[in-house]
Amino acid sequence: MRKWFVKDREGREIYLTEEQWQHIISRHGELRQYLNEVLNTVKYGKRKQQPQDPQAYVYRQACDSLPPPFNGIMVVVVFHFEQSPEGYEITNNFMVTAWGIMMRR
Amino acid sequence: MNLETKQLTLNTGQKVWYEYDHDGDLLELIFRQADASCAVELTESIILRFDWATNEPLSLSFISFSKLVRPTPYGQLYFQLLNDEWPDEIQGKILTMLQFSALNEFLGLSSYVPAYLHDIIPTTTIKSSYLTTLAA
Repeated sequence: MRKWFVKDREGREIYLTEEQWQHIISRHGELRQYLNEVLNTVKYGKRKQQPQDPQAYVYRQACDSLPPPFNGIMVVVVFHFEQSPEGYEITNNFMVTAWGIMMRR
Repeated sequence: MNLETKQLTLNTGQKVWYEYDHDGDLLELIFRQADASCAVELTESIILRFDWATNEPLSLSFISFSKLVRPTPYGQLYFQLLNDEWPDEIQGKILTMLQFSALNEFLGLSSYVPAYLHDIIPTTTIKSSYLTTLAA
């Protein structure tokens, strides 16, 4: 199964699995043609921590290629640490879902 | 993916599907499966997808759901509505949906007035008890 890896503006590696992407577009079909835009939102967008959850962040970026009135994309990323088989702490940062949104610009 | 899905029947008879992603701690309530023509952030953690033409809510998502419904010493959490960030042309649509659609089965509306301020701050809370048991 495919996985797409991107780095955000501060160099954190984040991935999206094909399974998760298929689930996203099965629920939010309006993003079906916009995989690159979703990945670019994590690459270049601004991130903000969720107020109630220090491990969850939302990345946002304006996107003019979506059909109006959508004008932006939001992606939820969860940051986890896990133990490698060798005992090292490794990051497991993955995209959970994404939306096309209408935001004030 | 570690998904838990169930179907709810509202008092109105409407069926709602809920889908909880345990790995991502994301809950999505699906009122009707369809492509949305608009979506907004109701709060920093609650996203509404809807049909622009009919003002019909299509789904409601809760980011970090288990954290949103955990009890506090002072009772349940209220979340500030991001109405200042909604474009002017959808302010009325959103308020109508919050007051009169299936959304009000899950979200309560209220206002907060901080001391020495005249402006009210609109807030919402997650009010369905069957949703809070899901995250337990």
